[in-house]
Amino acid sequence: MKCSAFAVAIGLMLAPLTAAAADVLPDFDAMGSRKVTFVWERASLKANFGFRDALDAKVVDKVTSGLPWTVVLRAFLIRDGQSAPVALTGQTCRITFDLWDEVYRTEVLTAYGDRKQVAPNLEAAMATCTELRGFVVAHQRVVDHRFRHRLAIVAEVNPISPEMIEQLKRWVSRPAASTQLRPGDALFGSFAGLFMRELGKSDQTIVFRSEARVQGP
Amino acid sequence: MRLRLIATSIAIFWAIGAVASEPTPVQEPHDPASVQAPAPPLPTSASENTAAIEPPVAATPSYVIEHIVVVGNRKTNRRVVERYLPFARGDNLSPDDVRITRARFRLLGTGYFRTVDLSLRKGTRRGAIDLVVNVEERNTIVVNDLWLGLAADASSDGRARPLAGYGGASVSENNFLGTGVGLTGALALADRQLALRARVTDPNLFGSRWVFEFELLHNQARDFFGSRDVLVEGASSARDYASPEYRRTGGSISLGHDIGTSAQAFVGLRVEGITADLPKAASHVYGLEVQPIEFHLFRDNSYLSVLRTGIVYDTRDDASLTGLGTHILGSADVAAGPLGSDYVYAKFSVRAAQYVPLKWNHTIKFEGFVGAVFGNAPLFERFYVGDFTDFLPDRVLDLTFDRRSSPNFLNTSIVEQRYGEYAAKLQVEYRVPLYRGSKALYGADAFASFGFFGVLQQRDLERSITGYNSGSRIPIDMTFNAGARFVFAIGTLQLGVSNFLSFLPVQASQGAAQ
Repeated sequence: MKCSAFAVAIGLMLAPLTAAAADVLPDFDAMGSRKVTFVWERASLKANFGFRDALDAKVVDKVTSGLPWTVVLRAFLIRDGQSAPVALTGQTCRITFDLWDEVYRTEVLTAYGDRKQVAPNLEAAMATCTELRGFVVAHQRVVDHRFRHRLAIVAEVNPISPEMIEQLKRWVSRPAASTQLRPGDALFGSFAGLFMRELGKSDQTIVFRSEARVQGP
Repeated sequence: MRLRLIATSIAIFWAIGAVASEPTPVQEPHDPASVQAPAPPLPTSASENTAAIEPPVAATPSYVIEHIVVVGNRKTNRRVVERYLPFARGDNLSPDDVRITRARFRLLGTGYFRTVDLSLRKGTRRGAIDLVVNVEERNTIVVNDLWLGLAADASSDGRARPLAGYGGASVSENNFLGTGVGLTGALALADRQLALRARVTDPNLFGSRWVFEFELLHNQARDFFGSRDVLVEGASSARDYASPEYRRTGGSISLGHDIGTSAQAFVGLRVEGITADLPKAASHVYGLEVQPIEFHLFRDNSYLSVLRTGIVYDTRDDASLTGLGTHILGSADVAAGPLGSDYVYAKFSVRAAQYVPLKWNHTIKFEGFVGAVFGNAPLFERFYVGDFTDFLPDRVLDLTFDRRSSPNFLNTSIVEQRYGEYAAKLQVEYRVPLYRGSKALYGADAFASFGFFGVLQQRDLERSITGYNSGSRIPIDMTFNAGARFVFAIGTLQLGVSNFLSFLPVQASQGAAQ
């Protein structure tokens, strides 16, 4: 039940991407670049990369608090000279510290299957989520061998679902604190809700593109 | 359209709603574009440094809540925090329960706290945990409204005066003594006018999801009646306006409840005593006829008891700098003899606004209002023309500050109207976002609005006003405004040109009937 709810949540997060991937992809040219290595395995393009900089003191506090720490990753394969991606794939990784067993439980959800592990320490658990090896990027049929492609990565830490944000807006615009029927009576709600403007869609977002380019097999 | 030059001064109308506290920083969001982290170490296999224990792997752990611990609440009662938690001692809790995140934001949405963090810690026995709610309180004293403006009123002897000031403020403490109960005080002042309000609000009556409010009101008010050639019995000299004075003292109780996620319904009862000092008789020229002035109040003492129901439907994305959504306010008031009311009437009104985002990031707001009063409603329950035109000050706490009529850009009988039993308005507003930020200035919008409205009296339906041709009998006028709206951390400031224009020497005459 929990897994299905989690999967639904992941689906909700990724659904808008598949519908309008180009809309959520940050400016490709403005991204910093990082080392990403590619390998063709059978008919699949796979990538190796990492973003360990997602780990900081706040993350340590968050994870050890016993509440889940989640990274939702999206990888866009973009042909040179184009802005719309030719392929999009994603992964969700979650770390939960088991307060009583004192281990880190990780859960990785991809389109190719789910994987659950137990890590003895945070470093190891973080490696599961932030160091990806053999990450399937695309099938060869969507990669035109005549062109070179680069990979763009968007990794969101503890993203808030659009549904949750919508619900928040309801709460803060109508804080249930007045029965007055005047248009201006939402004022306290509006100012209590100003934090919404400071609230990002995630705790942290890491964006980068591959230094290297890859061609079809 | 006949326009007459009237020398007046320039006024600045300043409507500001301010909070005496800083906004609530919750998290430190990271701009995706700004996160250009240095190249990480070479990716290594997770399996290399993960002492992974392969299957069997337990699912997410599940705990039993042993204690709920609230930390950092210096003023707010612990029970107020617990009200917003959907958990209790002994409940099973999974760390990935979405209610944990929801509870955090629900607490932030109260406005009582600057930050809210939830965490778990080991309990005293295996499988048990303490749910720790760490809060940082914020100042909850809020300046809801600050009114400062200039109006044109009349002196005590009914002579028109070109300029008079008015002002007021509404201030709330939304977490009184840390109980979560809100206290609001409001005051409005003008020449020989005073309005006071005191309100207690419990957003969770007895821990339920009912909102309860109790309000006391007191108004010492006056108003300005008469179109032309005003005669008042007992007055020693001719005057421009009949300016009766009246007092209101009373109170109201009301209850509200959410309906789904986007709507809220209210029901309430207001009872007040009214003492009006009215002339025995007064007349003016209305159209081309001399008619008695109707003050819509009973002379000396009377009582009003009115039952009000209302509903709010709100899907706006932001109450201050709205980009999209719908906002509907509907209300129905009934005052009847069995409720102890001398005034017997029913009043219905609906205000609806639809915000439509445009592709180029601008917003169009379509707004409509329609209202009707049936029966003998007191004047402050009738539709006042100043509430519909941008060129006159709105009523503040039911006080009217301006004696003037609507500008009458369309040369209709609107110039004869002050209060009506029927009113309608259609308005379009175009908003251009100028700035969006997350620090001291949250946003700035330029706006331009244009609309039409009408205020109609029942007597004009029964007998047409004289002196107006067929089309001009319809009491409508247009209104427009343009300016900028700034949303600061301390409040909202709106500057509009219509308030300036209303005092410039361009104003309609007293109508076609003159």
